[in-house]
Amino acid sequence: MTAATLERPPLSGDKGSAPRAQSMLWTDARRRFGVWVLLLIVAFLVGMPLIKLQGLAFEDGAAGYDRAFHTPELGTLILRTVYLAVGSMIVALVLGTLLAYAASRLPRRAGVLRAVPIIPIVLPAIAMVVGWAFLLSPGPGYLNAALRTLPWWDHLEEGPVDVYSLPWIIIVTGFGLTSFVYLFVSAGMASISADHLEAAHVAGSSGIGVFFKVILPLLRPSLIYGAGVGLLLGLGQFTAPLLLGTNQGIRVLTTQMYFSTSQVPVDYAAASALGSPLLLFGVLVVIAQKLGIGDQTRFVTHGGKGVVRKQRSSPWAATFIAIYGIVAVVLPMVGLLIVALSPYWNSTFAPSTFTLDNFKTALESSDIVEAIVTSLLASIAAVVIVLPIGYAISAIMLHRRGMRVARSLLDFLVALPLGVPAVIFGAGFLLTYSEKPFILYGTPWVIILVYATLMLPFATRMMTNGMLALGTSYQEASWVNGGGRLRTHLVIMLPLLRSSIGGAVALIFVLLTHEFSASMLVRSPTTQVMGTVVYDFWSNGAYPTVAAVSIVMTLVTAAGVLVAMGIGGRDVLSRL
Amino acid sequence: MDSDNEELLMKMNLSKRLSLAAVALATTVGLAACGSDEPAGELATGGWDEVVAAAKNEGTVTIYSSQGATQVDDLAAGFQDKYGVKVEVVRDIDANLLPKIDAELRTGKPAADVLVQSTESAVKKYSEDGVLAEPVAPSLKDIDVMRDDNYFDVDATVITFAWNTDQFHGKLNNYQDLLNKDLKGKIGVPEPTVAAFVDFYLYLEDLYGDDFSAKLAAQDPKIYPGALPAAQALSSGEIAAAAYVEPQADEKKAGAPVDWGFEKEQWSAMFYGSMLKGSAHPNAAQLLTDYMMSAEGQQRIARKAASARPDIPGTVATLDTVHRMDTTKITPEVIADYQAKWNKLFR
Repeated sequence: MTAATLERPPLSGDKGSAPRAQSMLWTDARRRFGVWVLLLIVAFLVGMPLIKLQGLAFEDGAAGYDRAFHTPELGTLILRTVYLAVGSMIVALVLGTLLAYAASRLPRRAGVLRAVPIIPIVLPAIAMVVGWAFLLSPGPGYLNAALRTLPWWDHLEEGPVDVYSLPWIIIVTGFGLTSFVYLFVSAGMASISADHLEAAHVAGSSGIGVFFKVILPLLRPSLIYGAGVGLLLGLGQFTAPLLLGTNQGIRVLTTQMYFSTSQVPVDYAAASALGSPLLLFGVLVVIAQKLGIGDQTRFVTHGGKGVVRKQRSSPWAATFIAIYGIVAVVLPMVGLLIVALSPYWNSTFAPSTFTLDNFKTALESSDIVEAIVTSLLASIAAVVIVLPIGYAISAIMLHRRGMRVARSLLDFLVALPLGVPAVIFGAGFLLTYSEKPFILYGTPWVIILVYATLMLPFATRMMTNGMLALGTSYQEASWVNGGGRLRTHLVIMLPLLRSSIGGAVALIFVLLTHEFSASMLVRSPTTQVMGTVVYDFWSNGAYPTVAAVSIVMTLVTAAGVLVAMGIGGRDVLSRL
Repeated sequence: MDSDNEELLMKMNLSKRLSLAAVALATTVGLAACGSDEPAGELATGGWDEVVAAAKNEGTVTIYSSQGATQVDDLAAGFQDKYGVKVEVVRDIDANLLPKIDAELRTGKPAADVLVQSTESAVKKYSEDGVLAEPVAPSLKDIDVMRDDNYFDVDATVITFAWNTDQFHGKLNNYQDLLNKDLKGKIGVPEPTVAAFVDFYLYLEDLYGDDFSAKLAAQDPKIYPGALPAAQALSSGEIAAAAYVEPQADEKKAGAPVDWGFEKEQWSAMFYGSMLKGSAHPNAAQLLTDYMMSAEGQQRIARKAASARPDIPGTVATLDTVHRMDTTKITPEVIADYQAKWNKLFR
């Protein structure tokens, strides 16, 4: 393995601080105390809701499990969940990797396209799903109607695509996950030194040869991580199955869980029991992933010194990304826009009837405006809470001395919100914080806490990635020169990690402004966020209003990203 | 250099302690300071005039309702115009509202002041649990709507079948016509998440035989959570016929290609009103209840539906003439059994 030759020597301790042994001892004790306090906070945030749920599932002789086992068609339900996870992960992994490679070979003039694969993250998933429904509903879907004008489909009354079927739920979900894989793979791609690729090119290797022989092997940690994240996110997917699967009774474990909490009588015990296989599997994937990557420092191919030279550009790279952008982003947005401008949704495209009334309805509704405000404030508050925690955890994890137990526990706890579907966390938070001692249900605080918890893995991962890419030489240099730990962090690491932190703020903020799955559980009818309001309009109101609200929501999120880019730099998203 | 370093070290220790303290403080404040939203209000004593004055003082009232969205909005607008008290409307189906009410009751501070929904067993239990406030609204006195001391009939939404005239070129005369083979794969049915929906299916089986659910399932229908999304799907042409929608008068007037019919014996969803103890606006809740049950309120809330009062313009019947679910017959066991049967047939 090429990367193995690039291994950095392990850190040999604070060479310059030997004379102050006693002071060091004190510092160390304080550090240990700090780590344990942090561990307790994280354990409560992450662990308590899960313990609460499991406790409920095991109540009355595991009656919750008993009822869950008697869920009709349980086998089909589990199988569908696996299809969804694996299918959408494969779609995302293939597209995400190709996009990341294409993005690394964009001509300078087309550099702006690098942000295109990230746009689906910026756009609210629920808006995208609704957009796809408007395009590909078998009857009135615009794209289907257009396809039916083709000679070989002109005999059809509906179709040819049925967005409400499992394969299309998987594809739509896969599009959503592609951005995540792209981000992780791009991050990995960025730490591959161009010298290696240049060497391969000079030695006569073709573009495809370089991709398979040099890039893919070096990308192993990113690919494994990306696949793991894709699989876990796929298992926990809720939005597309909920909005698209309900009409034909296509349920997966997460939607079945949601429906267990959304029926009379409500059954939290069965819901949490239904989530248990996902929880177990999630934990297994996290462990497997950690074993697969092993020592992460082996894959650092530069120490952050100087600028990474760009790879050779390729004209097809721009074409590929542009086509992806049109299919995955522009099309559903166009679908939304047409419906938002129409008096009602049907398959005929009639610009003469277009009206702005739906936008007026949306913006005049105090519910919607309140939901937008709640979304923004809760997201900002969660970012403020989770980033320092993520930074501290990363620093602890990468500081490879002592405290093995605490570090392993932290590592495990932080990964849990990725492994456990947001729906389960939502249910757990609802139960934990609607009872004493912390009665937060009905206030934005329960939303803020669940948001911060869900983002722990992202915050930590992005901080870790940033620190890994920097390498340890800056820290070592600081320590050799007598800089203490805190000074090193404040004066050296924080400024160097500015773009990573800006990126983390941006990504976490946009992810949270349209968080949907956990919000569905913890929202109260009077404390809503944007995603839940769209869902309520989807269930209760007219489709044109749903479309208008979705577009408003998308614009608000986009504005948030622009602000974040203003703070973190223009290319903050593409450098994630 | 050395002293510089020590000074720096001290500074850093200080800032470290400060930042630790800040994190701890933020966490504690965050967790402790946000328990309450609004304090529970007190019902004014003295008489109805005092209640009205106190309601205006409260200035706002929150209603959770599973009635038709346009009707609830209309009621809210009328109330706001008349009394200047803002109404926050939360409209959703029972299956979503009731778990939220349960959660709010656990916190002891319900956000809902008024609750109108169609699952009688739920509101009956609330009443028995002592979590409902007793109504004092004068408009309840001259009509016979109280089901016990705490909850009352509001109106009954007439539910019927309808079709999209672009998708289906004919006329449906009754529910049996939904079995037309041209409609295979193109009809919408409700998911029996709550008692009322189960009652609807059992009503169909009463009319057309025990195997009617199975025949309907054989039509490969699409499943909707309630009457409103089914109506939207019908207007859009996503389905050609719907088994469970309100009369489509508004949609037809707006230009949607829809039409509807009535079965001889109409089925309807009865709505029960109640007020929650310990909510923030108990006086406004009483005032809203009074308005909702008045002739003006009924004209708004019971439009296209069966009213609690006779001779209300725009309503289609009165409560004493429509089908009412027999709660002694639709027991939790019957509901669970039917849901299991339905899941096997339709999923």
